[in-house]
Amino acid sequence: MKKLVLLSLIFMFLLTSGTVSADVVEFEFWHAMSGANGEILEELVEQFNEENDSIEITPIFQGHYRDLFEKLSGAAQANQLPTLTQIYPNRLTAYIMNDFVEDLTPYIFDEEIGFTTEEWEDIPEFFRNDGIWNDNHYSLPFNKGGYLMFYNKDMFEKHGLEVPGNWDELKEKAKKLTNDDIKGIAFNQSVGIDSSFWVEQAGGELIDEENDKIKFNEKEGVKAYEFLTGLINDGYAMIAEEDGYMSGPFVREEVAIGFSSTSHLPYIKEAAEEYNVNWDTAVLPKGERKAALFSGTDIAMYNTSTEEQKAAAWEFIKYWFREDVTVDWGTNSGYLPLTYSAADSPDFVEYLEDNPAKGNAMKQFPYGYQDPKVLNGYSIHSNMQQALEEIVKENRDVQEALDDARDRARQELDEAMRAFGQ
Amino acid sequence: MIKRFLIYLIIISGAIITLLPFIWMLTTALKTSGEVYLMPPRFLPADPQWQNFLIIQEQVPIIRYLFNSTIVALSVTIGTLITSILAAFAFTYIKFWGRDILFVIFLSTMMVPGEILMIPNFVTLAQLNWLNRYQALIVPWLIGVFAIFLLKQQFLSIPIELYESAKIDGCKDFMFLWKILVPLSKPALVSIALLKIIYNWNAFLWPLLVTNTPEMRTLPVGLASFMTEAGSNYELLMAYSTIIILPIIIVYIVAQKEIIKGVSSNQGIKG
Repeated sequence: MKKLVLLSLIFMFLLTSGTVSADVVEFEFWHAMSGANGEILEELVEQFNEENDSIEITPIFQGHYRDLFEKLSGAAQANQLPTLTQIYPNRLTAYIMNDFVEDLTPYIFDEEIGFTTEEWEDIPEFFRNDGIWNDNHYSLPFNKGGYLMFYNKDMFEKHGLEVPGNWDELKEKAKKLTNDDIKGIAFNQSVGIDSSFWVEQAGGELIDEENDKIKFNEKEGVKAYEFLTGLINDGYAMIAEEDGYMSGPFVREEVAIGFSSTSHLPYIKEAAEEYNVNWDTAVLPKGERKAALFSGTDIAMYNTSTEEQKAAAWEFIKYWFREDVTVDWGTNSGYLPLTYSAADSPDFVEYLEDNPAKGNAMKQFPYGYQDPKVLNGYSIHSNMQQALEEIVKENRDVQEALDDARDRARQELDEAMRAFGQ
Repeated sequence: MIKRFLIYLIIISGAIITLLPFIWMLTTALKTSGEVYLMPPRFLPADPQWQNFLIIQEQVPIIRYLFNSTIVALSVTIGTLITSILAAFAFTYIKFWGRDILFVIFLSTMMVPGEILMIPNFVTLAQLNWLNRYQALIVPWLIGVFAIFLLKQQFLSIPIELYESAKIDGCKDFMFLWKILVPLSKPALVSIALLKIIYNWNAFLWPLLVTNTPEMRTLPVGLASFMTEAGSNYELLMAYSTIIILPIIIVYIVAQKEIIKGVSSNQGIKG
């Protein structure tokens, strides 16, 4: 017992007695990247630290998104927020309302330390705009993945089929590819949560954020849901069970087509290699219009840090968009480079020769969009998921299920606003 | 004979069903990443991948985590035993004003879900400047209301005459506690210790909340490294889980006898 106490005391002493040099600005960057994504993130931060003698960023893995967000909320109350964090825009809204977030606009457009117009416009607009609240930029894109269509090349060849370009073709091909052993399409279990791109493709949207009106139950949403659930009910498509991703059935060649995000690529690639599956990706088929969902978090800065820390953190944010850095990130992680010029850079083009999937995702930049960032925005998705499950499993009427989901989502959004006293 | 055979059959099949998830974990830990996806699932790996255990070691500082987990679990367990023995003694033998009300208040705190206390506790620790230190991992868990309750019940089962006669013989409270009560309550103490060890060994969210560096984190926090929002490396996850669970199984095997006594027997002295 004595030894134990002594030992813990020694350790406490060792851990609290680090030396701090006065002219180095130190701060923390909280993230939720593990595995290969975490490795390359830490490497890039390390590289930044080496290039900047006066700045020392400590990247801290805080578990998964949910753990990270929980920790942020505790940290906010304890006045322990880090200088930089990864965060979903719909989560950042609460911190902006509480005035915890640094407005990046003055940094971005500063003549000396900001982006040049060329650099700024090199970042796809829909990425930039997602960080705007009240006309100010509070966050910038950090790790972004895009939804894609994965398909089994051998199965398509066997049936002499071309890759489907629109909904009608998708349905027709799924039908041809379906037989006793194989289904045409597999969706991730979270299809109801990821289903905004189907609604967008049908010409609709989830919510009109300016007028605060939920819209996913309008006729476009109904059309999208009828299409999705129709595919499932007709037996041409299935929802992945097991671990919830389409990768299992896809690599076992139980399905010919799957929809998932690029962030899922490393897993599909590894498993497909082992099973000798001949596969490829393609852009999402279009409905009434083209629309591609990009998901992932932004980077934001908290205003609870010192001016020096904020200035240093801004340097890191800018560094993140430097061509070589974003290409490194795009080639070594499950995510995409964040600028148009990075997409055209020789290094990335070379990478695409062996890994064409990410190129397809980036082809969708011109019609890319991101999910709404309203306070408690996740309730929109969770209720859409519930509606989809009700339609498929309980055979509910599409319109009715979506109307109910709208009511529930409305209630949850209002509750969140009330919690803020608004 | 047939009856006996039937009993054995039920027990053995029960044991197999209970063990199956553990065996599944072990076999999955040795599979390749593709084998995990096989359908119908293959029970035994075709070519056991022992290197999975080496890979996880490269990805997380497992030795350091193991060290921290051990320090935390041991300190919390020993600390809780000390506080609960003293508290249970006070609640049972010492008469003081408001004792029963205090005990009811104690018990009612068990109704408060831990999640609700998470953030206030975090804020308190932050103000004490304890974040990222062993204190944060240990101190908040040193009082176990359930442990106090359990021990109080155990102490109550020991006849009060024993206390009174000890007093007459000139035995002080503290001596009575250590020389008589504690040895008599060994099974209950072992049960409390085990529950504490298991709970703290497996705790995930709290260590993640209060620590910021790999040097201070515990084993379960490392689990998160093998799961991402896009999918999990199941074989590595299972290899890691095996390593986490092994020490607990060893503790269980060592303390098995006492646990069975603790839950099953009519301990104590009949009055």
